[in-house]
Amino acid sequence: MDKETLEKIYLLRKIRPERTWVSAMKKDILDSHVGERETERVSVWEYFAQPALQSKMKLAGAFVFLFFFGYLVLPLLPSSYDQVAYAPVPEVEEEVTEEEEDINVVPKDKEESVDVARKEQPVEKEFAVLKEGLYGLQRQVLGSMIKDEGELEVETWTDKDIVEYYIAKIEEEEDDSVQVMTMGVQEEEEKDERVEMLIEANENDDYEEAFNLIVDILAK
Amino acid sequence: MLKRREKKKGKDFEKIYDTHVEQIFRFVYLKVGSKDDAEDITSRVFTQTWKSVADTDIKAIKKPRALLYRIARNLVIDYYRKNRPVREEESKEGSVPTKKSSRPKQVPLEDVIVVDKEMRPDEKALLNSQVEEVKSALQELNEDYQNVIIWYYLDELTTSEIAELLEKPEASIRVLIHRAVESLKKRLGNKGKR
Repeated sequence: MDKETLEKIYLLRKIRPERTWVSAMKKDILDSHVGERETERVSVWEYFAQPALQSKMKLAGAFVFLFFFGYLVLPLLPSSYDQVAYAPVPEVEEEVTEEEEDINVVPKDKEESVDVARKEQPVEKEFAVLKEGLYGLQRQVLGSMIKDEGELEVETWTDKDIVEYYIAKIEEEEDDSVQVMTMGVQEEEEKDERVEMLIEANENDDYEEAFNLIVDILAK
Repeated sequence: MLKRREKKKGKDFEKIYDTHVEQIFRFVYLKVGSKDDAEDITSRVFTQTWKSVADTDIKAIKKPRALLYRIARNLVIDYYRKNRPVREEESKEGSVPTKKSSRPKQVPLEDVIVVDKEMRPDEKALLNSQVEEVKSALQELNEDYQNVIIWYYLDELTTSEIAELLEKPEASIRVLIHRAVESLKKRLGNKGKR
């Protein structure tokens, strides 16, 4: 484009509005709109009561309700989660050593109380309980044998009493050379071994073992 | 809090107003040719703009100038519709009867031209005549030609901004500018020869 035409076009840049008119118009526009705003001012309740805000207010209210319900109320309700969360912890079974496996082993501090308790139990009950199994049969046999020998108080004897009776008998036979109890035992060493085991079983309150040994000794 | 926000929005609008009021006035004046009508339309442009941003964040308007020009164009179109061609039945004493014209009555440019205070009267008169010549030639162009010349050379809009306003491709705008200038030049040449 040639310079002359361009300069002529640029002359139009001199066209400008009056400054006073510009300032007055600006003030009129801003003031008029401010005036409109003042008349339209509403209260807070009226503002939130607008239909356009109703759906938004309802949605906001629903979120608030869900928040408080989920955060405050739900944890208070009993649930399967609680049952699982607060389920009793299963007890861990402690490993039982070989010593503890012998349920017949009574701690020494309890021996006296156990003996007293057992002596107080009637023999009939003892015999009745022990009828089942060889243990009961053995005891029954031994008890009857003692009874046959004239020991009148055998009904109140405990297992320990019976075992000690037979230990005493066996020791008497050794001393008096009585062959009644030890008749059948061919070898001295074997008999001694059994007697020692019998004594040991008595000391350990292992009366089942003691009865087995007594029967074994008497049988041979 | 409401008052504070309104005050801030008012200040933001003032910035837009101070930046673009002269451009909008000039644009409208070159279209309608009347100072009073130009002032009225310009006032309505900014009033409408202020109302349109009342419920929104004014800073969210990325291109306020484009918005102002769109409103101005629409108001000018409305002005043309209301001011249909008027046959001038009266003529000034001693003057040649004017032809039928679709343009409003012309007003002296002295009311709208910024003149240097130190300018002599003859210089003022020369300036007035030159501006009047260009203005008349511009008003003889079609609307798109007028718009691109005003926006590109006077208001210094970019071709992309003009393309957005006219909703045309940017390449078309460059062609449009060239044709507009050639057309204006032709008319200025014809006026010069008269």
